[in-house]
Amino acid sequence: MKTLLYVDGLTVSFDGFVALRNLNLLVEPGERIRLLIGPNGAGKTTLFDALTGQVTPVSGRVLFQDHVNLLGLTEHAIANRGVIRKFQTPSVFPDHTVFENMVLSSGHKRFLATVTARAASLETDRIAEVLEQVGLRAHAALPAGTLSHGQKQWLEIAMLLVQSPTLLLLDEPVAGMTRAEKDRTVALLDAIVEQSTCTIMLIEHDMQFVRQIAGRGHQVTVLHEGAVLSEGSIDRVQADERVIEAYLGRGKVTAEA
Amino acid sequence: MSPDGRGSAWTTDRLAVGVFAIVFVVALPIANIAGLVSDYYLNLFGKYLALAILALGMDLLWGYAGILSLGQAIFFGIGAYAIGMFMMLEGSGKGVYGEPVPDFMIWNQVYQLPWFWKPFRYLPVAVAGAVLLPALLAVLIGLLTFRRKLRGTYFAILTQAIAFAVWLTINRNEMKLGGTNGLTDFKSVLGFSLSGPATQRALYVVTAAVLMIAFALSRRLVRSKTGLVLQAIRDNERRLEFLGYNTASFKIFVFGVAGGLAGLAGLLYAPQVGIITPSQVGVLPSLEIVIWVAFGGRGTLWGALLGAVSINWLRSVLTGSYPRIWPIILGVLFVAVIMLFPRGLVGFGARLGGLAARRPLVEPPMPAAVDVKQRVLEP
Repeated sequence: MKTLLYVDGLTVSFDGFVALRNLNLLVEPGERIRLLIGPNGAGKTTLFDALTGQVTPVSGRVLFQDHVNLLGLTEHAIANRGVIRKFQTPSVFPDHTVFENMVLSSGHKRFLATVTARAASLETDRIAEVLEQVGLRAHAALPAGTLSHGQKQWLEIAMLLVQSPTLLLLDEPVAGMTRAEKDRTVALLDAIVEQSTCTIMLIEHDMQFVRQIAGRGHQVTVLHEGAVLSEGSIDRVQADERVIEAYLGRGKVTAEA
Repeated sequence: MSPDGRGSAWTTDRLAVGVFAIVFVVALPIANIAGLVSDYYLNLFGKYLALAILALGMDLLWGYAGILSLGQAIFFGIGAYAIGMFMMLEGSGKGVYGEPVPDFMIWNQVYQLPWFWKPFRYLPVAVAGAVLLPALLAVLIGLLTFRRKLRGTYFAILTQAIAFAVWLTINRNEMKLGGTNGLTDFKSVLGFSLSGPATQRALYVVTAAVLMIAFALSRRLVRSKTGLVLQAIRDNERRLEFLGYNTASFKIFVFGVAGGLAGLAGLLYAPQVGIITPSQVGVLPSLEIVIWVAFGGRGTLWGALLGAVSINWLRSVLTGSYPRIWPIILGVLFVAVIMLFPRGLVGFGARLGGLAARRPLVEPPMPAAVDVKQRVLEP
């Protein structure tokens, strides 16, 4: 396998608004975390949407593991190939318990396999292990709707981890978290990198969090107006004149508004 | 870690199932033999319990999987007509005209038995057909809709349209199903006279036992992983797709199960009531099933049972004295329950019992708004 993810000339347009403009992106198999940053409207979430089959691009190619063409596959088919996504807002099933949320995420997803699944075949040990990892084991029997915001985010990460993903797409995992919760999430990501082999693509606005993660040597990709503006280590990206220019301009607008 | 974290509640539930079985399957028929419960009331309860099976299917479909079908009476009708055809054929030749076809066909100048009536001469065919035909029809409708992501209101409207079309069709005499009069004047089942109290008692016991089996299987289904998936479809179908589920298969399955249960209900209903007409198959009866489940408490199997039995009992009581205003009473009840007790009788009971306190009603506080200035790269 030469590339884990190969995005070639991807263009997405919503009724004339070009959300992704001929975007090229390469993620190598050994890479552990790729940070995606950029101002609102840069196309970060749209890129995730295109990768997971939610929007249909106008043109371009997306190859996963060299030869799986992700474009044109349905959402569940993409998920079953190991490309698993976390949404911006926590979307756990509020009426199901934490444990039930994990049961839904793990094991067989095909209808017949689900129907014939017995209680003994539930991956209870694996679920307990992942819940332990995100610190929710003690809350297993609670309805997920009663968890705090940060806990819901962690539960959702646990729901993704238990599926043993190949490529994990995290859209703003620390949005709305307290500083302490963010620090715990950093530790959680460290543990994931250490204990599994999956590659994580992560969208985040919180620069302190981005620096914490990128400080461990992970690459940063800056998106701007639907295309890659800059790529490399956090120091290189932050020193890039084009990045500073693009964001300084926007920073001004935000300040005036 | 208990698989669902609800251990004790389920034990109480199992106890309740046992009590229900003893009262309805054993005690009531014995009381009838002893003369404590009249034949009339036993027959009435047999009718309610058959309709409870129909409600059970609706609850699995709507209460658990969140799929609102406004055409469940079609499936009920297929079951009832299937067994009705069998009973008509068993009685044919003994009618006023002595012809080998049911009497109503003579009135329409039909002297040869139509081809689609012929298999229903055999009880096993009629019984299997009563359950399998509606289940297959439901699966077919499901294949054509759920796979194309037809959802929510659109699905509800489509099923209502189908119910209306079916109603219009079977009303026609050309369909050779008795037209507006439907099938009636059943005489016997396997030689046992339907007017005999012993036959009716046997039908009652079969109905009650089938209801208990259907209830136990439904309970097993909703506790299984499939049940979790169905409830997750109700709560957030899109999310489930991103977990890797092809939700269409699960929806087709539960629609098929609900269709089969509706057919089973029709199968048990027709011999006890002695008539099945198009008026029990169309749009209005389909809507009523929704009301039973909402009234009893959607998403709880007990709610379906309670709703079907209580509303039909109310109907029996009230249509006797106030036949004209019954639809109004039903409508008012429906609106009142939805507004006052969205979780139906079961939810109301749970609140009375203080059980609702198990789940905090207060939402967790909103996450702190993200500092907008932090959202762009700092200079």
